[in-house]
Parts: sequence; structure tokens; C-alpha cells
Amino acid sequence: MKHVMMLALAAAMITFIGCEDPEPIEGTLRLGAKAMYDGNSMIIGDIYTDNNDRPINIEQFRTYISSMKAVKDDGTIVHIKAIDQINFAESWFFDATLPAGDYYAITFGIGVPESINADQDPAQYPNDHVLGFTGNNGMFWSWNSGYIFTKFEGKTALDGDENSMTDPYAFHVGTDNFYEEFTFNVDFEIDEARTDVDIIFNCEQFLEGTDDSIDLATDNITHTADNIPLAERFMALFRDGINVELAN
Amino acid sequence: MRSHIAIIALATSIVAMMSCKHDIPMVEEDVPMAGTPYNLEIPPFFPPMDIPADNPLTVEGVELGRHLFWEVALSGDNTMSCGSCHFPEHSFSDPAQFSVGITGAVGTRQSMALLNLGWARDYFWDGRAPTLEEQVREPIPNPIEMNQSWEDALAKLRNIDAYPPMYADAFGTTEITEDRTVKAIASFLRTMISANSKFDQWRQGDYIMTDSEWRGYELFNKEGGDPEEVQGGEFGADCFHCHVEAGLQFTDYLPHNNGLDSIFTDLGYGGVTGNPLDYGKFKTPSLRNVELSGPYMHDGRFETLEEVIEHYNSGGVASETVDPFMKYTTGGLSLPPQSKEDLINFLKMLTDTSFTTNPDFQNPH
Repeated sequence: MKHVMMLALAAAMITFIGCEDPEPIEGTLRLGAKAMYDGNSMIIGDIYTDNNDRPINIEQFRTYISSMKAVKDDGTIVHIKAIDQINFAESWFFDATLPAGDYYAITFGIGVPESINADQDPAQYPNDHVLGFTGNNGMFWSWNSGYIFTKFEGKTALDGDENSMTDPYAFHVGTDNFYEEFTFNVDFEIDEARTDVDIIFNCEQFLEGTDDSIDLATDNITHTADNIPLAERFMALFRDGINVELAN
Repeated sequence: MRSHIAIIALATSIVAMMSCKHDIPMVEEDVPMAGTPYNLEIPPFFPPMDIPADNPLTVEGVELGRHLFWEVALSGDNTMSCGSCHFPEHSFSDPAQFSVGITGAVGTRQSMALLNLGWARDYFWDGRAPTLEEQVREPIPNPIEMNQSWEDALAKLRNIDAYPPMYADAFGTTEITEDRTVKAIASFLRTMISANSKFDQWRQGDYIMTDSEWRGYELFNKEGGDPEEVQGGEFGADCFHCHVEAGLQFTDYLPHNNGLDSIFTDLGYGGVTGNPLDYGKFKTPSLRNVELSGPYMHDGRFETLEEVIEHYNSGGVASETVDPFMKYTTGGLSLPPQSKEDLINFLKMLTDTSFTTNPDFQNPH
């Protein structure tokens, strides 16, 4: 009987000890995405100045982001999330639970991986899934071309009159050849405090880079397949406009 | 004494362990406990239908909904039912540009065709109702439609002998309430599925398109515009961007401004959201049964499909919210006459008279 009592007391002690804060074995990474324009937060519908000194607004900016992973200093790759769609009209972030430790990189794909892109039917998913019938939010073309990976569209005024923004531009980029995975070095530690890492999309760079410049007066619409050269030019600028940084 | 200590210790241990867990909230749902589950068959290639947990489909609820849909007692002068503005032969829309209410008041928007509503993301031309139940709630008290308070409508239903037992069969109680009434009508509307057009038959290998229908189908899915004028133009009709084939609904159910006006007298979604970027945008309707559901556009300005095609062929007019795929700056679609004819022949493939004549949807009174 004495043994039973001691055993019970020991169990109670162990249980209480179990509720105390141990050394962190995991923590939270908040992976966010922000759109910027000339160093300031980009606001959908606001008027900015483009690379040709014309007024420009962004009416819609969405992108699929997939295969999100974090890389530890020892080379271990930790999965964060398989796929999501970022609508830059709203804030976007994802809280992932990661093993504690030091990390040096974030990797992700822009677009929908080939295995789940073409020859797929959004109807196979729950409606509110980001690849589903309504959840894709207009980011699906057709069974053979698949999903629109990135949609960047709005208006400009070719005559420079920002009171009459009626000249359209639309860059809709997709198809398997345009899926691309990125790795960005960013040092961060996962411990008991939440760590915030942001993927920054610098929108002004989507039209102007070191090697190319898109003039919306002449190059303003691509649905990829109908204008592959412009889609390629846009994506080259787009990828140069992305960076990743520690937010706190 | 020792055994008491042991019990206390064990109990303490259990309590301590429980304190490490999160509380699990208890949720009560107002789920009807009556009725026979309705076996809703989702047609091939259609998406799943999301049915609210608090309004599951039942055979009795759907049948009650059908009676209520066609019930003239829901109008102030007992002359008008939902079906008065949603005629079966017109794919449950109104052939008039604007429907006329019981007082003679005339609406400002065309009655939408009622089909496949269970897949829509919101309701009305301006999307102001987030659910089908909320949509159903509006027309009865609307002064330019049925013009009767819900209170009066419910009082009338309570005095019609057939209804209390029908509510009992559907909801387990003879009590007639606004919530149960809108739930029943919404249930009925969810069963109104059109999926037997020639196009559906073609998708299932049971129909062979004519040459003209096939050309129209190709035009439907090609980029619009003269490539000399429009980057990437393929002389197509450019329909697929908004009237997507995926899910076989022929709509993305999203709001678009298709270049009807440069100055907006009706703000559409913008009137609901207050967002200038939504001004002049309206819900993209399904093209199913488009042959039967004219006149067209939110204000019924076009009487024929030919006029609709001509609108897109012209490119529409510029405004600050017009969709970038309208070809208003580059001369429109530039479709020749044969292409227009082919496109219309394809659109007529979406006609489904087995839907419009389905006895399950007709007036039971």
C-alpha cells in the first residue's frame, strides 16, 4: 500500500512538472507577404508613378505561393505550407510551428507546381480551397493551361492625366514553364518568441529593372500563352522585385 | 488513511493533467430534426455544393420550398409569387426588361435566371446577399416587389391549412417562422440544377458538336482581338476569362465591369462595398440557358444574343473600373459575321429544356 501511495504522489509530481515551461523544442514562424511601391506599402487602387512617369494603379495583385520551407543551419529542411494564394488587397501571413534552432534560408515557389497544375479540375477540391472552384478567385484558366500563377493588373493614363485612368494593363502569368522556386538567405532563430519573416514584393520593379523596362504604352497585356515574350520579360523583372527579410 | 492520501494524490494528478488541456467549447446548432435527407446528385464535372449546416436538404423541406416559391399569399395583394418574375420557360428569369411589382412599381435590374444557385458565392446582381437564405429574405417585404411585411406573410401562411403540417414534416414543428420559410425556399432553389444541355452531353460523350458549334467553342476559349491591334489577339471571343468552363458553371461568379457605361447610374457591387474600384461591377451570370433568359445585362438593355455579341465585338466603353480584357482601346473583338454566328450556335448548346420543364420545379398549386 505504501508503494501505491508513493507511486501516486510521484505521478502527481511528474504531472505538475510536465506543466512547467520546458526548454523550447519548437516555436512559431510567422511567414508574411507584403507588397511595396517605392518603399511604401502598396495600397490597391492608390495612384503611383510608373517607370515612364505616368500614373498607375494596381487593381488586382494575386499570386500563388507554394512549397514553402525553412532551412536550418545544419541543412535540415522544414516544411511550412504546401500552397496558398496571396491576395495583396488583404494582409497575408501564415503561422508555422518549427523546431527550435537557427535557420538561414526560406524557400518557396511562385505558382502552382506542375504535378497539381495542368490537367486538373478545380471541382475536385472543396470550393473554398485555394485551388477550388470558388477558392481560386479567378486564378484558373482551363484544364490544359491550368492556374494563373500571378495576376498583376490595373490602369494607367497614357496621356498622364491621373483623373482619367482608363488605359488597362494586365500581366497574367502561368503554365508549367513559368513555375519557379526561390531560395532567399535570411538568418533567424526559432525559440519561444514568435519570429516574423516577410516576403517583400516591390511592385515598382515589376516594370523596371537593371536589364529591362516595360512600357505600358506598348507592352500591356499577356495571358502568357498568347504573348510568351512579354510574360518572360515580366517574370524576369518580377523575380528581381522579390526579397525576404526578418521583420523583427 | 494511506488509501485516502493515495486517492487524493491520484485525483490531484488527474486534475493537473486536465488543466494542461484546452477547453473544448460546446456548440449548439439549430439543425432541423425532421425530414428525410434529400439525395442531391452532383452532376459530372460539377464542383461540390456547400450546403449550410443549419439548413440541410430534406425531401420535405424542398417540397415545402417549392410550394412557397409559387405561393401568391407571400405578396401583399395575393397576386404575386416568386415565380411571377421567374418564369420556367425563360430559365426562371423574366422576359421583361424590368419586373413589375404588385403596386405597379418597376424595378431597375433584370430578374436573374435561377439555376445552379448552390454554387454562387453571393446573390443579386450586386452581391449584397452573402447566402441564398439572405437572398430569399428580401423580395417579400421589398415595396417594389411583393410589398408585404414578413409578419403579414407569415400570418397568411398560418391560415392556409396545407402549410402547418408541411412545416411539421420539414422542421418538426407546425410553427411557421420567417427563418423556416426562407430555409425551405433556399433548399428548393438549391435543387434547381441545370446539367443536361447539349454541351453537358458532349462532355459525357453523348453528343457530337456540329462544325459551327465546335468553331464557336474554340472562339469562346480564344483570346480576343486582331493581333495587329491587340497583343496576343487570336481573333477569339475572349469569353472564357469570366465565363469559365471549369466546374461547368460558365461563370466565375465574380464581379466585373464589362464596359457598358462610362458614367455609372447604378454602382453595382460598388454600391454595396463603397469601394470605388467596385463601381459599375456586376455579378457575372452563368451562360447556361442564355438562349432562354434574355433580355441581357443587369439592366436588360440588350434584347438578343446578337446585341450582346455586338457589344463585346465593339469593345465597350472606357471607365476607371472596366475589365482590362474588354478591348475598348483596341477596336474590340473584330469578329466577322460567321464567327458571331458560330459563337451563338455554341451558346445555344448550353440550353437545357429538361431543366426548364422539370416537373419538380413547376407550380404545384
